[in-house]
Amino acid sequence: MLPLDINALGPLTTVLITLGIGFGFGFALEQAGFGDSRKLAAQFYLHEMRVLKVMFTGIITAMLLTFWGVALGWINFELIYVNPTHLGSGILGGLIFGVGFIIGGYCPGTALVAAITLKMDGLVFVLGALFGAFVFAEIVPGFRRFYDAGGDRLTLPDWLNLPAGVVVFLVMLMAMFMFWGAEKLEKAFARPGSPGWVDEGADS
Amino acid sequence: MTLGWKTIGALIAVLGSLLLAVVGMPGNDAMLSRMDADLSAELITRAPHVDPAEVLDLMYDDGQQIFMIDVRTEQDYNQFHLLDVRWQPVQSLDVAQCRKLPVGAVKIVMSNDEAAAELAWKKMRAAGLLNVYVLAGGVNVWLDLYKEHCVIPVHQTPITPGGDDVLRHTFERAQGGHHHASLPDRGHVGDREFERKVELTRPSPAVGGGCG
Repeated sequence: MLPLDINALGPLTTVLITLGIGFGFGFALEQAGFGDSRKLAAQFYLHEMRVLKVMFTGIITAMLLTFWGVALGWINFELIYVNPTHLGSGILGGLIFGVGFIIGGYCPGTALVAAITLKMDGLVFVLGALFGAFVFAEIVPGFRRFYDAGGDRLTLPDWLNLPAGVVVFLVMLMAMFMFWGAEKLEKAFARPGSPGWVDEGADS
Repeated sequence: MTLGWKTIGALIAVLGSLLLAVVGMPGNDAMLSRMDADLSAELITRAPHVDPAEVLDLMYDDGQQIFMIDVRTEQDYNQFHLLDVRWQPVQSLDVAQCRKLPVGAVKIVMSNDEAAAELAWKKMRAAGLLNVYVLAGGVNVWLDLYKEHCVIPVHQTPITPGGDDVLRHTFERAQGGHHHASLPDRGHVGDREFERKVELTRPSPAVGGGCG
């Protein structure tokens, strides 16, 4: 029975689990305020670090649960899909993604969240993203070699040659430092209405 | 001093990760002990045992990556082995190296009969490797089928599980992978009726990632 294998549950159960996870993810994004492009874009101006805090919290929670599952023998880590590492195309794609994010105020997932709540900017962003995906699909044969370069399954423990448990601890420390730093940045770059803003005249 | 919920959450997370660093991930031996009953049951069904004809077919299939791992002694390996096979004696099988093999590649483990290959198969499965199979009948049956250019009626050769994992065939001199049976002609695939068992398992790829 252990380690757990989702494929052994049958296709219908797998779909239902996936739907449940997707629903939970979208719900959490909306509740975190990620359906509002102003909150998302504020990340880049450093006066509201909500995106970093929420996403990184999700990451470290999932990381801790996953690796505890592996440590207890409940999860086979080799069955977990790890995106292949394509460093060059990842860096360039990340840069392009960042430009689009700050211009549009959304990433594709949060744009869907906004679109489903009938925000016009979210709807337009989704259409733009779909068009961009279409254009990419048409032109990618021209730079396929660059796009596919790399492609190994590479994890931090492999790269650092450290035990997975140690890497989890180091990532956790990094996350705590980033959360602390995010709060400092919010205070330093605060503007009226942002989380770090202190209205010094409020008590007078 | 009262701690806010953020501080409590941070403490739980850091302590949880510190404990994980101390506890560590289970080693291959620990995973093998936990999974031994299930793996033994799977071996009894013969599901992981791949017919030599199917292995021969895979060796010629350019569309499918295959890695063959010979877990016999060095002496037996030097006497004869299949073409392009990797030698890794079962006692010192390096599962960390095996983990670096492509997930979507078929891995065939072989010994003279099946005993050592089945142990290696268990170790690789306990390490989480996918698409690992055992050469049914081992090198002994492979040579029964292909050593003498298939003079014997190959379709009548049953593959009997078990055996003492000793190389039954003798060679005038060690030929390693240079024997004609190291890569028999592909036409011999059709000489046998067999059940195809290789079925690739891949981790299901996620669609998108991060915040999408």
